[in-house]
Amino acid sequence: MATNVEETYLYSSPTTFKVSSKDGEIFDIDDSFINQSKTIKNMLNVLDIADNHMPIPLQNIKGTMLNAAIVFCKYHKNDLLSIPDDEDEDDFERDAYEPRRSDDISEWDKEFIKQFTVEEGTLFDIIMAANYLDIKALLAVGCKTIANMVRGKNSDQVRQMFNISYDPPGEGLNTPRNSVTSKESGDNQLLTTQEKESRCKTPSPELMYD
Amino acid sequence: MNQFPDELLLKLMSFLGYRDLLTLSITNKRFYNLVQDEQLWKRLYKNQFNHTFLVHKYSDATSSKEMFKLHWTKDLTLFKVKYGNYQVKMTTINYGGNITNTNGTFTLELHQDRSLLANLLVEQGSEYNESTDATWTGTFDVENRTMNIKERFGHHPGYFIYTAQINDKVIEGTYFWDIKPTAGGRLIIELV
Repeated sequence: MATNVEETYLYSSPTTFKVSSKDGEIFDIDDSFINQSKTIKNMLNVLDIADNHMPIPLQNIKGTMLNAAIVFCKYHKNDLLSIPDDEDEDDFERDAYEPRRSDDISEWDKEFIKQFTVEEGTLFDIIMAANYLDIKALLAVGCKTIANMVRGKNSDQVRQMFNISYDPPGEGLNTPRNSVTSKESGDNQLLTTQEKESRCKTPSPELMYD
Repeated sequence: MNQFPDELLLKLMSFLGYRDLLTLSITNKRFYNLVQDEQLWKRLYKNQFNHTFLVHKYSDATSSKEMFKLHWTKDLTLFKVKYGNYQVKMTTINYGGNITNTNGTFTLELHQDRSLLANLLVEQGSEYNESTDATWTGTFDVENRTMNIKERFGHHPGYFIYTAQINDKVIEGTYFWDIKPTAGGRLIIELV
């Protein structure tokens, strides 16, 4: 699309910019990043930045996440050509009924995303970073990865995975008969491990799959 | 996880099917509330049944989720039974919420006057309730060939996905227990 190409060249000199992370790390970013991060692209369109500019502060993003996002964009720099730039995520009507699949993560992306985990919370961090930077491809890979982890698990396994405790859905909706309804989520945090286990006991496999 | 915004959770949930969504909905309150999201179920409905719908077309459907539930259960048309008494063997293959083992049998008596009596004998108590010998009653709607079973008392947030066997026929279905306590749970098996 001709208009997109023109847009790209609006800020094509200089071709690299500096950005700084929350924890003060400074990174050089080039076209591959700028073209895929809508947030940065919009910033650069608004700001008038000279060659020796101060790094653009990205206060929401840790250095490790920013670095990973840059690596991701470098690898995917050519993908962009096939994605129409005017695709608007907020176009709900168009997007609303599109089927979503998560079995289409490329091998490179799978390897890439392996460095982030749910346990350490880094997988959430990279998704939030992708969301803030508005890098659609990275956001999708992150979300699909977690979706794939959830798939097929039972509720106990999901709780374990996300490290969350059972928290009764609340009055007026699903009130178990003689159970823990009066407990607020805060109380649940204070349960001993043993108590938690007794509430979320893992069923024996033969009961699940006959 | 706590800092992870709802909008992103909804985004990743949009990649999941209805079973996984139901599983999520019973993990805790936050997920439960998110799974009610209309958009998630509209998409699922469209992709499952290949058309969109008017939510309030059916009297007891108040959301896309409800509609999905109705339509899904109505699609199970695998039984051929006549009036009489049947032993239905139910085997849970997946479940969530405060339900553990709902394996059991229920006797089913379909009477000429369209009334139905079904007693579920649960083999083992559920997770949070020691006594779950639920008595289910229901009606058999000959015109719609649908059997509605209501649990007479007790409300257990959760669901189970089961296979039910009547004579030689086996069907797989889902029992949703995520509706208001006053409404009880409902199991629909369509009979042909």
